[in-house]
Amino acid sequence: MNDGAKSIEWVLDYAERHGADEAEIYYNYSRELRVEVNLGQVSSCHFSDEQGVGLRVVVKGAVGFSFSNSLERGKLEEVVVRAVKAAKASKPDEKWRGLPAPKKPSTVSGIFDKRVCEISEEELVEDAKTMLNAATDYSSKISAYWGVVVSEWGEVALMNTHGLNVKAEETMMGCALGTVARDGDEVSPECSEFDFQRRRKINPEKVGREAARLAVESLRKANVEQGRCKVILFHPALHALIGYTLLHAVSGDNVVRERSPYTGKLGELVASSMLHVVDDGTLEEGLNTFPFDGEGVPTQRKEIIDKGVLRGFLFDSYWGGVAGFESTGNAGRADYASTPHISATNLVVKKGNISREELIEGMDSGLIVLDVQGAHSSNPVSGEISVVANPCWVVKNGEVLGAAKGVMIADNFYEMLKRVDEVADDVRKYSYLVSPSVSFSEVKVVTRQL
Amino acid sequence: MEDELVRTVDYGLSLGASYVEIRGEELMEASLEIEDERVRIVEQGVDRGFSVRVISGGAWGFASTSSLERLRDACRSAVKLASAASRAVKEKVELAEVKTSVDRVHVKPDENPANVGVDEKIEMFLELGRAILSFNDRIKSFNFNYSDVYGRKWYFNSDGTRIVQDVLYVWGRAVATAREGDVYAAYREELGSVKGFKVWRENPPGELAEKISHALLEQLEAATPRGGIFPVVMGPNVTGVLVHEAFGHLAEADSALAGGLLLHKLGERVASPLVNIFDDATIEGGFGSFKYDDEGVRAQRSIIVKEGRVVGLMYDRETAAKIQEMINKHHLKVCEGFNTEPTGNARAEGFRVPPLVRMRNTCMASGDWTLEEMIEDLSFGYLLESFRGGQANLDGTFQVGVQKAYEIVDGEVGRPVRNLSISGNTLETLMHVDAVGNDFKLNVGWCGKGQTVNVGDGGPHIRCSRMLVGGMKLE
Repeated sequence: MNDGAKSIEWVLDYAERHGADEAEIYYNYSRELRVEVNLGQVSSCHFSDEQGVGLRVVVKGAVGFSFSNSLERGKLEEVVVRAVKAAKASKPDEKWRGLPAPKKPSTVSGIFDKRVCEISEEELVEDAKTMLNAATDYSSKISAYWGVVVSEWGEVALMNTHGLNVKAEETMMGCALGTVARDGDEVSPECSEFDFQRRRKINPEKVGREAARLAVESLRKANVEQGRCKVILFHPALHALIGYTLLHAVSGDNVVRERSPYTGKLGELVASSMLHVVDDGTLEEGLNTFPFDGEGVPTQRKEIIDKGVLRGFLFDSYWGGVAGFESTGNAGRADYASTPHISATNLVVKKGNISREELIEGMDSGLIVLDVQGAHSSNPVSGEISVVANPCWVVKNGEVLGAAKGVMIADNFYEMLKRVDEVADDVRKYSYLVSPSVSFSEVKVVTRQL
Repeated sequence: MEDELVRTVDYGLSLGASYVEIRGEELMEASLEIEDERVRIVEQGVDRGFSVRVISGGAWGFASTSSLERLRDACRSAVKLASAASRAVKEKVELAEVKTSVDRVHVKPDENPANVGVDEKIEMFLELGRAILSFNDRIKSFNFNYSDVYGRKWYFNSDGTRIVQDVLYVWGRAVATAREGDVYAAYREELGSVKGFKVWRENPPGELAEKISHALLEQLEAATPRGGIFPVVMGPNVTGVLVHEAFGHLAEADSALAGGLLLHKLGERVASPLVNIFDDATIEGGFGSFKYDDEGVRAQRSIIVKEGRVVGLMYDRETAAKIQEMINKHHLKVCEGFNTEPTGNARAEGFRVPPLVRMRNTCMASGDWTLEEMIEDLSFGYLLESFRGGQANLDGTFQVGVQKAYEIVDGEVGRPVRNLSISGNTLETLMHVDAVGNDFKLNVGWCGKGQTVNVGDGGPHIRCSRMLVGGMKLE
């Protein structure tokens, strides 16, 4: 462990002496080694390591924040002065219930692997070469537009004036490659594949080959008719759509502020009975698993949707308090320079018991969608989406005919959740989402008839 | 400090690097967040650090540090990393030659955001929220994010370029939502400036509140769009995002070189002859304007499409050299006068990351149509005035969500339409542009490409004869 965190406890006393009612200091050390694929070759290698602190102070319920990437005493004194000044300039908040009291962090496993810290740049370069070669060896039509192999090591310590004092460390290693295939004038959509793990067990060869396979498979053309049809969404498409709709809807602040369609609907059927969703901050080897959240509250596993029934929301300590609940350990924090915000930890969609291949073979007619464009322009309150499905493959009688261009999904994602008809067992994890492919019936599809 | 930067550049060369550059930053940042009538948080911080990027053995090495004392360590580390990468490099990284510059660029703010009290900012934006929430009881929520940055950047390289440049921006975004029965509406308004805080004086809370509230209530009463192919007229806000998302990303040289749609169309017709597109870092007050990019290259106005033909791309020094080499080796054909000089498009989000090829202010040039002329001969179509978001793909597929749209019926602007989005293939769409307006407006925005940078985009009203509209109602 880095020893930076030990030398900052005095800041809390200093903040109280300078007018803070409460204070919280968040320390973060992060180290990253990465190799990038640019312009079709492995040509660059980066290293960064940094430590910094973020200080939250509270004056009459008003919150001020400041940060520094220098831990020198003089700089930290300035941080206190700036944060207190910010809080005093703000408005008192009667609903403020205080920073969290100390609680024992959750026991989690599989989030630190010493071998990830020890990996050398030469080894990462080898992995990047393996990944890139696997893609270009797959087909001469392939060019890689972007790729990365990365190893990360981080440490977080958090203390507040109520005696909370927690710390933990984590590692992550990952690789990703984006490719396009070209055949004459025909260019495939961007196809990327990834593998992110807590431990040193990524498979760059498989990632490279799969990214290339997806792009080559998108060159073969097929037509699709406008109307309603069955649609299978792969992980990247689900990640984009859930991120801009469902996450918003189950976020406690939006629920309390009536910005969510799920306000007042706990216990009601909001999705197909095929759908089970939990948010689990303690998931073994989960990419967002950690013993405590960005406010020091222990992480936990909670049901969000159980057999289609809405069971819970995500809260930090402030909105949990306003709603009359406890924090669910969902105050996310990106780094020392950012403030905590409600966010999912590992949002887990429970897997079904058929494979991806069986799911496709059982499909009479429909679409397979790897990714979507424009998810961020969705209406998170109403759930209305109007996105381009790209890459998107057409299936007839269980057989993939080819890829279709210019297909738009124009539907309502909250309504689509009620039409989930099958869930595969091909679980992938990336960022907040741990999910298999999911099939939806009767999805509205608009096409470009040229 | 500047002496230390010069010494470190020399140190890097002494370690065997063929090229060394150092970037430094010291920025004062202030931000605040408002949720309805509550100030969620007020933030003030100082961000400071340096990075070293080198070429050694024909590959890049990059390392960053928060302290000047450790800059030499970072330099040593960058050289070592470059040697590791050089074992994998097939074609050695080369940089296009550019004129070296020694300059100090000072920004004189119209009103320095650092001199505006936090309490005054809070009061101003709380007033905006109160005005919106009290405008109508169907308006349910208000969220506001504000930030300003004021400080300095250093750029020193081994070619002899030494630039010290002030950095300033002021930015804010309001998002409000409304609800009536089962209809939910959301509207976003964004303002920004690289000149100072004056932009908020020129757009007082009362006026902004009225604009946002009207747009929201209009959405509640709006019809849902018909899905299918229709003619559309796009306002400057939508033209800007189309030019940026749908075309601009394809014209970033790294995307083109990566096998994107434009690579084998350089010099060719890709759009209607009415279409002229440029990317310009010198537009006075543009949100993406600056004097030198993050490779120390003097930023300029770059013409990308002239009368429908691609006449240049956006480059950093590496991609400019690469394109030139491909042309020399006859791997690529281009037209006479095709630009391969670096354009000053290398930009980094901050000292922690190396620069990438990024846009600045990307615009379509004005033509000579009036809005009335564009609309009068349409029996049915849509007028798209403000976007919600957009995204493009290297195969030329784009999507733009629209938050303010109207039907055009029998030559007149009709009822409002909500939750509409458009999509298509960029080049087909640009070929279908059959009218370009005589107006022009520049917008404020952010662009994400792994890193986030401030950009401008804009243009006039334009008309496109065929566009795929993704509506909830199927024809």
